[in-house]
Amino acid sequence: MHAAEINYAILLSDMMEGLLSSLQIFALTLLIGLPLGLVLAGGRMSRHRVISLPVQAYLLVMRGTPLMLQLFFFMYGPYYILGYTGISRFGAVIVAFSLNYAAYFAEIYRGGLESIPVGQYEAAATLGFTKGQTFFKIILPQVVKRVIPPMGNEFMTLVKDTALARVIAFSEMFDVAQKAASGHNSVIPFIVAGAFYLAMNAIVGQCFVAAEKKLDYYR
Amino acid sequence: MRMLSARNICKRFGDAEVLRDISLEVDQGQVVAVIGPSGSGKSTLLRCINQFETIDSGEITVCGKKMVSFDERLQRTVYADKDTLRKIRLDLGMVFQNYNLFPHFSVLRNITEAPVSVLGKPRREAEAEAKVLLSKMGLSDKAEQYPYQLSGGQQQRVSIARAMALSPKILFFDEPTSALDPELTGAILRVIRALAQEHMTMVIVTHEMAFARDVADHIVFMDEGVVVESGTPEEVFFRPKEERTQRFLQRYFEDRAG
Repeated sequence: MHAAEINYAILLSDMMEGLLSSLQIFALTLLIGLPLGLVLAGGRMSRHRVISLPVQAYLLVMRGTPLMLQLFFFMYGPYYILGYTGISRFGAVIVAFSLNYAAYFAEIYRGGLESIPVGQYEAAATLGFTKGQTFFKIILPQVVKRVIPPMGNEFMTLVKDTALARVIAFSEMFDVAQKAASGHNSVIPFIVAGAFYLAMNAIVGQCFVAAEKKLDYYR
Repeated sequence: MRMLSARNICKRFGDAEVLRDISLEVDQGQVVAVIGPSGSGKSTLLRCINQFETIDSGEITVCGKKMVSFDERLQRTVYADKDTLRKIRLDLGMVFQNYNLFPHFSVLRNITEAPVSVLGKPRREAEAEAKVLLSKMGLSDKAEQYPYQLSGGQQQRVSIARAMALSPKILFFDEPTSALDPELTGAILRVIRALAQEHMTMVIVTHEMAFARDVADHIVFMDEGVVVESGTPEEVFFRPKEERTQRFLQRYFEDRAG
């Protein structure tokens, strides 16, 4: 049995649509996960155990269980546990990705924060900077420089992880490719999908190279 | 006028008694050098006065403002409210052993950032003042450089300019030359000497005995958390009364000679 010839124009336009969904996951995960990760890092480093212990447990669970499992949990958990049916597939995807990636970001921020010498805080204090000024003017800019290389890894992994959203039937690029592949008995859609991921990550990689270069003016 | 009065300060880290009933008085325009072997508590004393450490008992008054006092009824030290502590902080400048410049700011911005964002000075005014300070430090050509581009001695002079930009009433130095090569310490010592000639009130923790002798009006010799001896440089260096002081100075100058 021969499958229908692939119409490349249709394949490409379908996959572009899927790509858009993948990009949405990527962008929203960063938009929520990056600030949330910073808050979690602060909680993880808190001197108060009532704060640091729960955050530590959270980081363990989110980093210690599969993202795929978390996707299922946020998709079906609200209904099975609370009887709530209002969560969309896209909503579940964004919640799972953001919460999961925030945990990884938190540990990266923590590494960056802990690498800043205590003398920076002391110098800022003697100069009369408030805690907020110290953090945003003195500490955070230095942390950003230090977390760029590990963040680059996470961003690239995130690009590829967006493919996981299809496990709860959210149609993103990989889902489109997989359906096209089985519909046409062809491996070409997979190759196209691979090229798309590769291209996205090439762009991500270039952005990080540029960011590193931009912050190269000091050591 | 009394600028700083620290009385009967005690401080312990766990089982270690780092400061045992230490008192230090500093008058306006006075240059006090705190000397003594490593681990004698000199730096800890500075850190207590600059609010990096809390004291266990005793009291500290800065420019007439009570920073911390001992409450007889509560039987513990009570610190002033946040606002007062902040004001006191701005009366005090600090120069660290490791400079602690902000690496992501240019030399100029290192100096201007606090006047602009803490005191609310217009940036232009702060920059003009910073340039005056830099020329005093012999660093006029370094304003646009970043700390990593400077030698240790230059970085330390920037950090002195940074502290001076807030016009502190007392300037503290925590072993300002200890991280520097001997040939670089000269410039730092010259800057401190120039500040002394302008009657800047200073407290200097240092290992440079010859410098302490030349520039300070008052020497405090500390060992094992107590003030062993204090007085004029004449008294402490040439006629030390305590055997501990004699031994320390003898060993110090012998090492230098050898």
